[in-house]
Amino acid sequence: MNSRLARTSGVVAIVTAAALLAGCAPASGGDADSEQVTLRYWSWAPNIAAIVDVWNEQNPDIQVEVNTSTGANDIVAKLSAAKEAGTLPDLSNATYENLPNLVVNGIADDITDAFGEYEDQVATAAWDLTTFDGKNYAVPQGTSPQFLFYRTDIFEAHGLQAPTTWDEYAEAARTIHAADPSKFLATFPANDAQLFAALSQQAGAEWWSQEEGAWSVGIADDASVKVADYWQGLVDEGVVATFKTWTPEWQAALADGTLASWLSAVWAPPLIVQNAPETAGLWGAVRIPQWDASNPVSGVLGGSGTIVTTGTEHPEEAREFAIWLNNNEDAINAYVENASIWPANLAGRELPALRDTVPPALAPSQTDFYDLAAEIDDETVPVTWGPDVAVAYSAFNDAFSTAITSGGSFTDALESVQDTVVGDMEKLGFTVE
Amino acid sequence: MTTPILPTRAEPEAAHADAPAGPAGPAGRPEARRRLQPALAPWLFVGPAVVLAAGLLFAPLVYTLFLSFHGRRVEGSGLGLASEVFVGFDNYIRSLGDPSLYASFGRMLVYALIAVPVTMGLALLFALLLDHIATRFTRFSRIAIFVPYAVPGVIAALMWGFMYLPGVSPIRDAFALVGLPEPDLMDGASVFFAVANVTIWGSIGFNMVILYTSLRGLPQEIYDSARLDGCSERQLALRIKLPLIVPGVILTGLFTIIGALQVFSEPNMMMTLSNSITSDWVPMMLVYRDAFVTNDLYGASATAIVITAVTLIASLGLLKVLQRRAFGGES
Repeated sequence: MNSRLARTSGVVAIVTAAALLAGCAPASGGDADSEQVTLRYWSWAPNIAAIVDVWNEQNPDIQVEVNTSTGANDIVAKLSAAKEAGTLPDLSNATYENLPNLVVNGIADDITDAFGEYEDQVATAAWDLTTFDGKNYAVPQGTSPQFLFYRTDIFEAHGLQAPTTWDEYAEAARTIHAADPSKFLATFPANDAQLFAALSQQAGAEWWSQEEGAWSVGIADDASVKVADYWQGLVDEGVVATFKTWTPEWQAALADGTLASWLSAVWAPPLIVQNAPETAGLWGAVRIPQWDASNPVSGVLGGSGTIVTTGTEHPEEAREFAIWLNNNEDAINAYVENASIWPANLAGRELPALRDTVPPALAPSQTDFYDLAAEIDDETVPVTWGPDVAVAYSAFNDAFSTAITSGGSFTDALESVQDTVVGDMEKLGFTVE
Repeated sequence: MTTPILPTRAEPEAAHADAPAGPAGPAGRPEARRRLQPALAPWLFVGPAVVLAAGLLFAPLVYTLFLSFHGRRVEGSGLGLASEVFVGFDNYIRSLGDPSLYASFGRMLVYALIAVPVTMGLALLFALLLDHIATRFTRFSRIAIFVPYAVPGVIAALMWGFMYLPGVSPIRDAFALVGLPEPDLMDGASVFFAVANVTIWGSIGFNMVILYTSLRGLPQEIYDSARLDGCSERQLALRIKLPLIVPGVILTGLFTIIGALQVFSEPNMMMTLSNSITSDWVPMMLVYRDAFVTNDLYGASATAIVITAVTLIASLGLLKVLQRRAFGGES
C-alpha cells in the first residue's frame, strides 16, 4: 500500500512538473517578434478554445493561449499557488463567488481604467457582482437566472401543473412520491450549497453584507432558516430524495425519470442532454417556485467573469481581450453556439442567435426560454459574496450531509456553517459584527 | 554497507603506491590523488540520494514548517488586502483545538482496524495457498490477485462507489433478485467497511507478491526433510513456512499500517458520491480540504506537521518493537 502511495505521489509530481513546465513556457512571447504578444488564459468553459480562435484570427499580434486544465472549484487554489510561484497567467475565469477572495489575495487586478466606461452596456446585477468599492475587478460573462426544469411527460401523467409556489411544489412532491414510492420530484443535495444559498437569497437572506467596512454574516438568518425548515419537512416526510448531485446515481435518476424535476439555472439544458440524453425534448422550464407568487424573486445561482491578473506583463492587451471576450458580438455569438449562457452584455441578450434558439433539452414548444431568462434576471435580488465563500460551501456540505445521514436538524446545520464562517473571517482579520 | 566497499577501493590505492617508486617524477600528484579520491568517491556515491532526499523530502518539509508558522491576514476595512504574516503557534493551537481532527483520527483507527488485519490475513493466506504443492493455475491466480493493485485508487473508488450507490448498485439488485432486503452499503457503520473493502481489494496483491516471493526464496530442502519427517502440508505452512517469512510479514504489515494512516484518495473520491463521508473524514482529507478547498494552506501545513509527527512516532515505535523479532536484532 505504501508503494501505491509512492506511485500516487509520483503521478502528482509528474503532473506538477508538467504544470510548472507549461507555466514556464511562453510567459512573454515578445522575444522573437517584438510586436507580438502572447496571453495565457485559464478557463474551464467546455468549448472556450473555439471562441478564442475567433479572437486569434482577428488579432495576429495578440495571441491567446487557453489552458482548460483548471476547474471552477480549484481555480482559487491554483491561482494562489501560481501567484506564490510567480507564474500567474495573464487572464483567468473566476466565479462571482470566488472573486472577492481573488481581490483580497491580490490576484484579480483593478481594470476600471479600461472597463469602467462599459457600465451602461452591462446588466446591473452582473456589474454589481464584479465591482467592489467602485472598482471593476472582472469583466462579467453572464448571469444565471434560476429555473425549475421539469419533465413535462411525468407532470402530465400525474395531472400536475408546473408549481408556481413552494406550497404547490411540496404538493407535487407528495403526489409523485405517493403514486410510486421509488420516484421523486427532486433530491435535496447536501453537496449543492450554491443552490441552497440561491434559495435563501430568494427568501430574503443576506449571507454576507458589508456596512462601513464591517461585515455581517447572515447564514443562519430567519430567511435561511425558513428555507431549511421547508426542506427538512420534505426530507422528513420522505417525499424528496437526499442523494447528491453529479453522481452516477443522480445521473441514472435523471435519465430514468426517478427525478421529475431539477432546480437549476440557465446553464442547465446542455447538462441535461449530457447526463440524460434520452430525455432531450421532454423538459419544460419555468420560473422557480415562489414564497409570494404575486411578487416573484430569484437568487443568484452561479455565473462567472474574466479577470486580468496582477501577474500580467501586458495589462492593456489582457484587458482588451477580456472585454472583447464578453462584450463583442462575434464572441457572444460563438458562446451562444458553443455553450448555454445568458450574457451580461445587454446588446448580447438581444442577439437573434440567442433569442431564436430553443435548447435541445427542452420541449420544442418552449420558445420563450430566453425571454423568460430576461424576466427572471430582472427579478434577481442583489447579492454580495463574502471573501470566504469556499469555506461556507465546504462547511455546508459537511453539516448537511451529517444532518441527513444522522437525522439531525437543518437549522443546527446552518448554525454550524454560520459559526465556521464567522470564525474563519475573524481569523483572517476581517471586522465581523 | 561500508565494509564491502573499502577493500575494493584499497586495491587501486595500493597500485598507485607502487607507481611513484618507478619513474622519477613529481611525487606530489599521486599523493594528492590518493588523498582526494577517498574523500570524493563516497560523496559521488551518496550524491544522488542526498540531492533527491534534500530536494524532495527536506525542502518541502522545511517549507511546510515555514508555512505552518505563517498565515494570511487582511489589512484595511471591507475587502481589504491580505498579506502573509508570521502568526507563531496560532495555526497549531487552532489545529490541535479542532475536535474534528480527533474525530478524523478516530475514524481512521476504525478503518485501520478493519483494513490492516484483513489485508494482511488474506495476503498471507493467498501467498501460502499459491505456494502449496498441490495448487494449480498458480500463474493465473497470482496475476488475478495482483491485477487490482494496478488499478489506481481513484478509479477503484469510483468503480466500487458505483457498485455501492443505491440507485445503480448491482449488489443491491442481486439481493433484491433473491428476495433479500437491499443493504445500504454506504450508510452508518457500513461506510467503514465500504471504504476498507476498496483499499483491501487494491492492496492484497502487492502484499501477497512480497510474501510469495519470500516463500519462493526458501530452500526446498527444508520442505523435503519436513515431508520425510511426516509433516502435513498444513503443518508445513504454519510451522515452517510462516516462521521463516516473519521478516516479510512484518515489512508488509508496516507498509499496510502506514498506508492506513495515510488513507486519502479512496474516501475522498467516495465523498463526492455519498452523504456518509464528510470532508474531514480522515486526517489526510482534512489537510487536503484546508489546503485546496477552503484555501488555508497555512493551517493545512500545521495539521500536516502534526499528522507527520504522529505517523513518524507510531512507525518508529512499531519498528522498534518489531525489529528484534523481524531482523534478528540487527540494528
